[in-house]
Amino acid sequence: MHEATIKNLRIIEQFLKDNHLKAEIELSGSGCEGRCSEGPNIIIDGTCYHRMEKGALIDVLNRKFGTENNGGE
Amino acid sequence: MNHSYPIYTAEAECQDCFKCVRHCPVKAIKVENGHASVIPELCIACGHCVEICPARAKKVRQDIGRSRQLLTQRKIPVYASLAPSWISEFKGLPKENLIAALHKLGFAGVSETALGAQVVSSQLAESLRGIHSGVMISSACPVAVDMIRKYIPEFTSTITPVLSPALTHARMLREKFGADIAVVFIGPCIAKKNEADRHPNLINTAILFPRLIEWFKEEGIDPWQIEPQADDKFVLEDAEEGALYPIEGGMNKTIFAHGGCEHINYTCISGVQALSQALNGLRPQDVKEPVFIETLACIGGCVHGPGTSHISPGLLERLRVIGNTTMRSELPKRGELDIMETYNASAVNDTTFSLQEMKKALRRVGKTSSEDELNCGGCGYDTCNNFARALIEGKAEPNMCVSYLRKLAQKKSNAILRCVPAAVVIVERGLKLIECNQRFAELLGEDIKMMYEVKPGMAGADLRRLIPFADLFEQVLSSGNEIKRDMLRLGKQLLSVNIFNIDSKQVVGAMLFDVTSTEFRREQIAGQAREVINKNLATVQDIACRLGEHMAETEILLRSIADDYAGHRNGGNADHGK
Repeated sequence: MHEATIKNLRIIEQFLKDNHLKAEIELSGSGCEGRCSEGPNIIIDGTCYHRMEKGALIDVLNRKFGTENNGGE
Repeated sequence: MNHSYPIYTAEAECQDCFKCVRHCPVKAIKVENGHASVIPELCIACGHCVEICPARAKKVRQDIGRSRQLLTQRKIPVYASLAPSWISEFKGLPKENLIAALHKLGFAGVSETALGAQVVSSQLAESLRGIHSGVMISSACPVAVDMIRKYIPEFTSTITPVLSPALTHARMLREKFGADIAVVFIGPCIAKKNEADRHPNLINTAILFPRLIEWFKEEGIDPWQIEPQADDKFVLEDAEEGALYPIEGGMNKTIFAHGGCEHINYTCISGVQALSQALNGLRPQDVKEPVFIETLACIGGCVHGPGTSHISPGLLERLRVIGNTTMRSELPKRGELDIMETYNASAVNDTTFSLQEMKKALRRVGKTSSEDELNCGGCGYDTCNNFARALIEGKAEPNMCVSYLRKLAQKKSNAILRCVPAAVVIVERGLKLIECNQRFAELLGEDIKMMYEVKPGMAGADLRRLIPFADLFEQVLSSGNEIKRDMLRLGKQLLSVNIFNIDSKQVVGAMLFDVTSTEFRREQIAGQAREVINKNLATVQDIACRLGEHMAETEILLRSIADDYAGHRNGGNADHGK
């Protein structure tokens, strides 16, 4: 698996752990989707998110699961 | 899930020089097994470490991916809040070009953060009119605000309870264009990323000018060549006096211009050190006069922030801002926009440790008495006490103490020189002694031994005046090839000498063993061995000679016996007798 995707996987796992969302999520890798130039890609409930670097991924996850941080002090 | 802290160290590139620790105004950098890392709770995001790191190992979270994600996938309008220091960063670029370039990136609209500044100034001017004593500190600079909240907490109550211009501007944009928009701050300031993280409902993310320039390149957009269209204009309106904020005194001027608060003493403090120097040791209630402090963490103001390219001299940056600002003749009264904000202290607890703990920590770096405490600052901490406290807190490591490392190295070499069973001398280019041990002096006779007693190590002595074969050292120093000699004559003595490189062609060392005695004994043995050989030879010859004579004699006797015996048997002529 591509290194960036592995990093993203770690972030997702950490995200699920932090927000105790383990039960509802089923994690699966998928073969080549032919859109590597826009990668790393992640598909959540059918929507494909492109160029998922760490910050962008956290935003997507926060919004998807309504766990916007409330002032990270 | 929170985003990672905006400033971090790329460990692979960190070269453990601790320069960041030295330059961090609040010592918010921990060193663990040699690597420096930022401690978010202590950091005020001033960006000094990012700017001075020689290995470029201190990185800033770039947030371009997040901004691109907002623009491409969110299907909501994204507005750019452009910091006024853009005029200094994009020297001579018409604003229409920059706006056109940002539109091309996908921004629905570009607006000036200075508009927020104008609202802040008008609100402050109104509240200052009623203030007749006490200190009020601006909340415009997030680094200064964090510096006070964490390190001068007693002044937190004096921070003016209003949002910063950027957050105010974000609220203005959301008032105007609806709540379901995104706002991206573009400016020179890393701490804005902290502001965005703390107010995600106002500013979605913040990016620095250099990253924007890279983003333009990635997307093939050249702001200098772009053809601006009619609609490439700032949304809401063009800013006026608010554009003065990123230079020293700018904010004060805009508040003063509102009139009615001439009785206030306006002060501008720029630089984190200047701020702590101005306030430390002071209590808010000690100040009777009405004072307003415009705080700027960056010397020279935001135009000189960590997210700028610092190419032009400070004065030019300042003049560009002034040149880009028009002062409205009369300034509008405060609008209804609610920009109230509360600031709470979050004091960094300055734990004091017991004397034993401090002594133990100081002992770890060889500091046993107050004379040892040089307070040289080499480790990055002003005093050995502060360094000891950092050691106890696990923020620092012994090998950061330069004087300790030097003393330790010296102790090691002294011990070795003292105990090695040979004469040792260390010489630098020009054959001047750096050091020698006592055996070396003793080897060279009484008066050198006396010299050694007067000046142990005889540093600076000229080797040529001490030993005849100094030229060998010269050879090693110039060629870099080491030399070994088994028997060198020095007066009556015989020496085995091994000259080796310590720092090739700069510093060489030599081990000299006195082998005269061993040499003498070796000759003795050799001599005795020869003696034994000679003796053997002599006896052998003697024996051989005797043996020969003996053989000759016995041969004659035996032959005569044989003849007699043969004659008796041959003819009976035994006339020899009956």
